[in-house]
Amino acid sequence: MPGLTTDQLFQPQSPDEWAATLLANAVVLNLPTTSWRDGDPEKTIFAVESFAFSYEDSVQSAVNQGNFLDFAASGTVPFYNVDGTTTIAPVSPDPSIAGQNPTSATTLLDTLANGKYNCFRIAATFAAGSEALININPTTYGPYAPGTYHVYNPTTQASYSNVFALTIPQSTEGVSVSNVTASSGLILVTTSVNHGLTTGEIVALVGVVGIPPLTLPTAWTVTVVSSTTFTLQGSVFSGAYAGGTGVVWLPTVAAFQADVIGAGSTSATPHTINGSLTSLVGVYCDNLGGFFGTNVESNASLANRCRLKLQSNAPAPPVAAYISVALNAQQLAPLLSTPMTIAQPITRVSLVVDPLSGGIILYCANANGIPSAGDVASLNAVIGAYAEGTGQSSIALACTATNVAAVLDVYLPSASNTAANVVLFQQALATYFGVAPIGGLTDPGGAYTNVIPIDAVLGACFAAAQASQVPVKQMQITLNASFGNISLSAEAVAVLSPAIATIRMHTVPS
Amino acid sequence: MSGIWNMAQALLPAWAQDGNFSRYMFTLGLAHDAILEKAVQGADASNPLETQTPTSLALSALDLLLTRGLTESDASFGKRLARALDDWALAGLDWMVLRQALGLVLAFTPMARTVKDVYTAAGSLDTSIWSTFVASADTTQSPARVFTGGATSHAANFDWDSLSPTTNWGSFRYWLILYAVSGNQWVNPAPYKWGAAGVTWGNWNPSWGTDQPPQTWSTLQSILKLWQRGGSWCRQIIVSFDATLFDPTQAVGGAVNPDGTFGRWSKVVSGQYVPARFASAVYCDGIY
Repeated sequence: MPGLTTDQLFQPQSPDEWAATLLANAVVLNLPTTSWRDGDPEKTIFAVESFAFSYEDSVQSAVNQGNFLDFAASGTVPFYNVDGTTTIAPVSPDPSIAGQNPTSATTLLDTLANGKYNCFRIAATFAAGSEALININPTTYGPYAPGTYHVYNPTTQASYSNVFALTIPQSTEGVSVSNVTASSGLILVTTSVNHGLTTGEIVALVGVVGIPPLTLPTAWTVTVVSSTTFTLQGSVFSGAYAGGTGVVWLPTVAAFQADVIGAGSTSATPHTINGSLTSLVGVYCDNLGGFFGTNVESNASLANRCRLKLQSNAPAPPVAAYISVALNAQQLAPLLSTPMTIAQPITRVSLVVDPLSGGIILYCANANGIPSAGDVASLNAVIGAYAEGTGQSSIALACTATNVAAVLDVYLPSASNTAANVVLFQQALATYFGVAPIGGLTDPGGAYTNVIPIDAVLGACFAAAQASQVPVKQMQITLNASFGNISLSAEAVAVLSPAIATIRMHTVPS
Repeated sequence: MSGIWNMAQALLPAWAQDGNFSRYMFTLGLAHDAILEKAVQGADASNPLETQTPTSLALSALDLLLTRGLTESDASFGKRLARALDDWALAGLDWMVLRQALGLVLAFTPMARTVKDVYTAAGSLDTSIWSTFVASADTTQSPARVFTGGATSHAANFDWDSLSPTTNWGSFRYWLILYAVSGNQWVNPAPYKWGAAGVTWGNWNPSWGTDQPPQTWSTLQSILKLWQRGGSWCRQIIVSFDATLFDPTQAVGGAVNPDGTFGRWSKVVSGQYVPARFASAVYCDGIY
């Protein structure tokens, strides 16, 4: 057989084409094909075999595409069904796309990436963090086996449960609050008597009136100012305190994680996971810090990391080596001589070479935006160990954030105006902003430079609706109350703020 | 392997060895064999040394980040692709910058050099380091290296602009010199020069001063960006039409090597502006 082209290697023939080939060969061999009638064994066997050959051809075409990164990542192959329909199947079902590969089953791209590049897909992780449980009843609840005590975020409806066995004794009641004021923007709590706390301790404030951030029972890490005053770390003061209200409690703090793996709508900012699904009298809950999970890595990202890895094994590494090492830093950090950790994988990197010094500056971001100082410190250690050549200087810096408030208006039939679809659009926006590059996008044709194009954001929402077959009639979005693009500086990353976008659903006739 | 048809034929009873039944089975066997052949060729297609499916070389090149030469044959490109992982293990070295740049003009096998300067702690020009592949060199072997100075000798012979780290230009600069002389003439100097009849800005193909399209230079820039050490800066891509220019064995200046005035296009001699650089070479911006 002569050499096949890549088109022939990558695309199958349909059953009709296989049937025609079989028949043509039969004619060449002088078989009495004109006397064969429908239903005769000869024609029936050909018909059945044509589908079998076409199916094998489709599988083989997918395997052939799977030998090359781009086709393994985004190639498709038609499968011809006996009912006359055609199914277009991805060569490697992408686990980051809803419905394509929900179990993250190993794909041809994974096989290529693992075997040829020693590069492994970043797995999804559960959004996790510390949850404070305030029990003001003289009762001990539990123990609850792992995964059986549930709390939730009333805004997103995402639910979370205890990671370890959990018992909730009555919280220790502390002192009464006598005043709440501002201190350099933070909330400063004054107690009626000595509070006895030390900096870093976790308290819950219950019953404070007039201070919006403390309206619900909330938990905070304190910084002690004096024997009767402390500030609440991460707080923002607002309101006017109503005298004589509020008590300081010492809550139970436990590790919780989302019930569903991945980031998306399960990521949560501090003080948003404050609803109890496991309803107990007198028990309140609140998350101290953010809960951030990781989405499973997309095919495109994995293929990109494979190519970058080619450049990361040289003694005088090219610039792409720095990017490769940064994107693999979470796996490399524990391998340092002094093992370190990176809590959230670095998923976005922008590299600048200083033309005056030759120094390399890497601006980095994770799926949630700005990485923590600890993660950046670990990243610098990893780059120093794995990327930086002799005589070369480099530094990794956290990118800056440009906050983007997104408000999406969706017009759709009443049957589709559901809470689930609200979450669908929230998740689509979170996913888009979770991967938007540092410095935004620049049109090669010069139409725009360093922007988040509003059309692209809207397109991501439409794509989500299409993938989930939500019959949207119309959609419009504002970014920071404008219908225009969002401009970024070269080292900035766009961060959804608030993290959960506002979705306004409007019912229209179907 | 004997193929499905041969296998089937061996299994057929005597009555089915001839006649229509045999031929019917043969048509099915052929189709089975075609699927198997597709599987075999599909596996071969990712092997760049197998040129049975030449269209797959472009895909291998995408995966291995290699650029095909201007007139490079399938066989030659296949061999370079097969060595790509070895090359990437040496990325960033002068050797690999030269090898990959020469890959673009491989069919012409010209001479090529890189040169970089080393400075003293005080910022004085100290040593020039040259790496050279002569014409038709085997670039899988390392290039010849020449150090013009050293610990006790201060004999730098490539002084581009007399700038030094103390004036903000560090030793991370290097220059790529590709020769285009008789026998290896991959680019010609004429006729597109400033002032020539009918040549204006916007007349982009071919590029100024050569008969190569601008894409040749932008491709060279992208190759250098990919393969040069992170943080280094190719100051200029120089194409010399004279084999005697840019000579590591000669002293600085002397109408052979840059004399410290090449940073600008012109210099003042006896009150007159005159070209600063050699006329028998063209100079393209490098990249960092």
